[in-house]
Amino acid sequence: MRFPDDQQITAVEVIRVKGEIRANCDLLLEYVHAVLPAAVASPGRLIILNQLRRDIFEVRSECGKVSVNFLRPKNKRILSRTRAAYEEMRLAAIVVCQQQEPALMDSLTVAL
Amino acid sequence: MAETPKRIRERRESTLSHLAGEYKDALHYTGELRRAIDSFSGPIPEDSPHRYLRQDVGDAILAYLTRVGASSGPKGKSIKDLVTELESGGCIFGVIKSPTEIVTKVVKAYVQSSRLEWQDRKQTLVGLPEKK
Repeated sequence: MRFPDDQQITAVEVIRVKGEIRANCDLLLEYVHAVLPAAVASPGRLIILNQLRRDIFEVRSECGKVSVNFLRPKNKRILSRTRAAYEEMRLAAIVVCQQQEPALMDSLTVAL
Repeated sequence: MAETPKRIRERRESTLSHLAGEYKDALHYTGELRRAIDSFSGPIPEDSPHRYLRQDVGDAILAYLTRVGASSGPKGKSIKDLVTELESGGCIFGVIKSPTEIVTKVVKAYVQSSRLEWQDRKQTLVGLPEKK
């Protein structure tokens, strides 16, 4: 996931970014739901998985607040809250990865 | 005399092939080491530079605070202290995200679930919750 570098952002770019964010959120949520039952016996793992789940919902919520109803390009500032929430979610996913397979942390950071 | 393009290509391909072979060996060796480590039970000694290698960040923080809490009273540690301790104990953080970001994220999650507690109002020192 790469947020646009330009100062101005078009509605088309916002739609693309939101689409990629939602796709990553769906993948992470699917992973969390798949491993959550097995994590019940491990409190530390449960805490971090729940944190990731909260962060995913926060990102999806922020994503829903960004309007695409504009014609002229807008300042990329409109994505700042979504971007901050996404970075938190990325960090939570990295922490989950650190618990399971630390060697993959950097690959995951890049993939997300 | 400049090398011909064909010779340059051959050298590049040979280097790539060599590196790929080394990478494959390293992956194999890593797996073998991991299995060998996992075949042992029990903790790594407290003074080992690899004491946190088998632990995730949260468990490593809890282990450290339990250890220092028992010896130096219920005083909190800063995020910087935790990062220094975890790095000196061989905790793996990767190279893209900073250890401070990762440790802060874990501390906040653990505080939220009451497994850790802020020890000051400014939320700079973290410690184990007092037993009630």
